[in-house]
Order: sequence, then structure tokens, then C-alpha cells
Amino acid sequence: MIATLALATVVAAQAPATPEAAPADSPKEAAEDTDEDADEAAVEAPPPAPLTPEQATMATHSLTFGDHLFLDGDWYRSISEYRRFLYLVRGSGPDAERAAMAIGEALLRGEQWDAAGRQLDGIAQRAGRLELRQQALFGAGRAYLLDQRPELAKPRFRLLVEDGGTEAKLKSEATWLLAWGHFDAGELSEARAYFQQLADAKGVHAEAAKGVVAALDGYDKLETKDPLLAGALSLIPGLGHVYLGQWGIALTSASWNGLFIFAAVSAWLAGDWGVATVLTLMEVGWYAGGVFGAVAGAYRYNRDAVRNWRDEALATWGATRELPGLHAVEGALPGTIVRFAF
Amino acid sequence: MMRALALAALLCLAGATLAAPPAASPTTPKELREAREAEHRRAVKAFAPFDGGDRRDVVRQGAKGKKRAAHPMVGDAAKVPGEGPPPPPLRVSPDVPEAALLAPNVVGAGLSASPLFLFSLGYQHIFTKLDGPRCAHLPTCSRFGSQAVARHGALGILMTMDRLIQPNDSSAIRHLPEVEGYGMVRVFDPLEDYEFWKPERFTGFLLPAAEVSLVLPPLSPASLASLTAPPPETPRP
Repeated sequence: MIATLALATVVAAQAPATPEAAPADSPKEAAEDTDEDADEAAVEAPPPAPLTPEQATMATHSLTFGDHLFLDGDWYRSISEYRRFLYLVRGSGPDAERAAMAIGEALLRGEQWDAAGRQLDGIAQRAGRLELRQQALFGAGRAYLLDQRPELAKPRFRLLVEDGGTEAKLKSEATWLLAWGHFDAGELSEARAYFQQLADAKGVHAEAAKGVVAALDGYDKLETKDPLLAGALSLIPGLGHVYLGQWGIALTSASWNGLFIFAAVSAWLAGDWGVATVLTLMEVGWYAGGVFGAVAGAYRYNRDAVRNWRDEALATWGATRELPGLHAVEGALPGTIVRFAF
Repeated sequence: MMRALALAALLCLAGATLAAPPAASPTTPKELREAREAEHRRAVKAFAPFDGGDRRDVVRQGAKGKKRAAHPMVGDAAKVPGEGPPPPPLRVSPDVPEAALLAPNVVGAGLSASPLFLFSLGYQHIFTKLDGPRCAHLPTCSRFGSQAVARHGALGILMTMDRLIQPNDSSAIRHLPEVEGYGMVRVFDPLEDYEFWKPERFTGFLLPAAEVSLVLPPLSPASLASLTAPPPETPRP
């Protein structure tokens, strides 16, 4: 153990110091820092060696074959080809950005949400252009939204929405998905504000946003059950479940409690103390379990009412949260649909 | 004379039958399977002569001396040493203390001494094997009961009583999700759905999680080259 620690210390001491980058709150601020850091980066990073003609041909074939596999729906093999292309061109050149984004889109279409988010986050962190960073952030946010992790999706969309340099179409899409992120997280007042903003803007999502706002109005009118009332009613076995609409459980509870009460009382009256004690204990369990079940059932009823309402809103208005179809945009190359840049 | 001729003809026929070549190539699925298995055994013996003696037939269930096919629910290849994949790792739940996984005989002493827990074990391993699966839920009712008592003590008994009269619905207005477990389709009804004193589980939305702040480095011109390396980990809440 001590030897391992000592070895780790020596390795850490010999490792080259990596310059800590100052965190930037928005892509715009990051872009302002670019000019200052550009000269240092140019000095520190040696330029990559030029490709031989054979390497260039092989790279072109890899990219083309990756596109072919992608458009054929063979996501994972296409990822291998894009990675081969990035390896061959050393991550530089005009098509490297698109290949990197295509890997993210392939993972997204393969429903590997977490891996897609990590890939697109990686592009956003290492991007050299503001536009690419914004598009990668948008793709990563979409991946995390589909992964039901709005706590990761919201900061990415918010960065795009609040940044003045974002293109109008991308900003509108980011606002739409940010509103859904708040919706998924149960932050309905924030979601309503963003949906209302979209409805007022009269853009692509205006009609859908109006519909979601109307659905949000219905949230306050959901029928709920009072757990205390359910528990109080279930002091008469079965009545609490009748209040919850669970007629089958009500009948079962009333029958079982009636039978056990009758049997226990009969045993007590007959002086059969052992059987009477066992039956009484079991009846206490059934009775208390029924009261517990009525209270828990009221909580479940209220939760299920919200879930039903949420499912209906998603089914009616949430279709455009999904990624557009593979061939939804004529002539769009892989890696362009995910970033809304076709 | 005629009798002698008939006897000679019969002997010729018998000789022809005995001298006939073996049956033609297998045609039925059973013959094909047997032929494939025989070929496999020959190949194993040819290429692993020192391991041939270690092979043995495993009777996983059924009467003694009578080999039967493994039952899909009872037979478990993972339990035969040297066969099948290794067992899956322990599922770590935030409600189960880590010490209980590391030293179950010490921490779980109270649990294993509980009559209800012993009853649930006996029910799972004896009655269910004899009577077949009777619980349509997952976790099964006996597992639910032992979990409930382990976590909540006496309150777990009330939760189990409630569970025993639950239908396949979550409430009067919604079905429970269906999952596959222990060889059949069941409805998923975990213990957490009964812990109504945890309000965050009953909102109808995702479990609340704090936003993870996003830290972006400054834009750098040649940084895409590092995309050939795997991207960094994204923190999970």
C-alpha cells in the first residue's frame, strides 16, 4: 500500500503540468477569451504532420463508408468508421467536426443516451468554434433530456437560450426543449413561462406551446384524494378503498376482516384462548394493514393522476421532443440533424 | 422341400439384414441433434484427451437415475460449478447499508433470526417449488415482506398485509408496469411505492435532482484533435 502511494506520488510529480482553464459561464464569454488564448495554444501545440496521399484516400473512404453505414441505420459500425477517420486525420480538417458530431448522433439514434451526451459534451468542451460548441451543447442537452435527466439537460439549453449570440432557430429549439426539461423535472411554473414565451413569439412551436399551456392549466384541476379522509374511512374496513374507487380491495378487506372478527369473537366466547389469541393478532394485522393501505392508496392515486396527466400531455404535444427522422431532411448528412444545421 | 427352401430364403434375408450398411444420414431433428452431439463428443475427446474423464452428466431435477431437461425456472446453469456465467454482482441499494453486504452474518443477525424472514425463506424455497408461482408482482410477495420487515420492522408487517390484497393495478386509475421476472410476466410494485412518508416519490414526476453546473473551457483552435481520446465522464446525480 505504501509502495503504491509512493509510486503514485512519483508519477504525479513527473507528469507534465496541465494548464487549468478558467471556467466560462457562457459560450459568448468563452469566445471572448479565445483571442487571448489563441496565440499561446498555437505556440504550445505543434502542427500535425501533413497526411500522405494514401492516408488522405483512406480517410476519405472511411468517412464515406461511415456515412453509408449511418444512412443504412448501422449506427455502431458507422461509429467505428468515424473514429477511424478522426484517427487518420488526427482530428483536424474540414470534416472532423462533422464526423465527431456524427458519432454523437449515431449514439443518439442508437438510444445510447448517456454515451451520446458524453460524446457531445466532449465536443462542446473541446470545440474551437462558437457555433460548433452551441450545436454540441444542443445535442448533449437533447441526449440528457431523452435519458430523463433534466438536471443535466437544462443547464445546456439555458446556456443557449440566454446567450445573445445564438442563432434564432437554434434558440427557439433550445427554448422549446428547456421548457420540456422544466416540465420533466416538475418545475411547472418555469415550464409555463418558457412555453408562454414561445406561444407569444408565434414561431414554429407556437401552436404546440399554446396547447401545453392549456394542459398546464388542467394540472390544477386534477381530481385528488385526501389521505387523511381515506384513513379515517377505512376504520370501517373497506370503506376507505371504496372512497379510492378500489372496489375489489374494499370487498376483500371487508370480507377478510369480517371473517376474522367473527372467528376471533367466537373463539373468545368459546373460551378457546390459544386460537382466539392467534386469530385476534391476525385480525389486528389485517385491520391495521387495511388502514395503512387506504392512506398509501390515496398517495398513489394522487401520484397516478399526475402521471396520467403528464403522459397525455407528452403524447399530445411532446412528439417534437424526439430527434427528427433519419431521412426527415432531404440531403442532410450524418451529424447535421442533431445540431439543427441542415 | 418347400420348407427347406423357405428356411434358406429366410436365412438369406436375415443375413442380408445383418450385413446391411448402417442407417442413412440423419434426417429428423432428433437424429441431427444426436449426430451433432456425438460429433462434438468425438471432437472433445480427440482434442482434449486428458479432460475427457472429467465430463459428467448433471441431473438438475427429477427422479434419481432419470435425466430430464432442465426446467426453465428451476434449472440454473450458473449453479453448476464450472458451467454457465458467473452470478451477477450484488445489487447495491441506498437503503441497504454497505456493512450488511460485507458482513451479513453480523449485521443481519436480527434479520435472520426473525420468524417472518425465516417463514418467507421457507415459502420461497419450499412452497413455491411445490406449488408454483402464485404472486403476480415483482418483488414477489414473500420477498416484499422480508424487505419491508428488514427496513421498517413492525410497520413492514402492515405493508405486507396491504400488499397481499393488492390487485395488479397501481390505483383505480392506472395500471402497474409489466416486467419479466422469474420466468413470467409480472407487475412491478416495489416497496418504495408504499413508503408514502417520502413525498418526493409521490409527485408523479421524476425524482428531484439538483442541476449540475456546466463548466466550459475557453474556445481553442486546435482542440478537436483530442477527440480521438474518450470524452470525460459526466457526473451522475
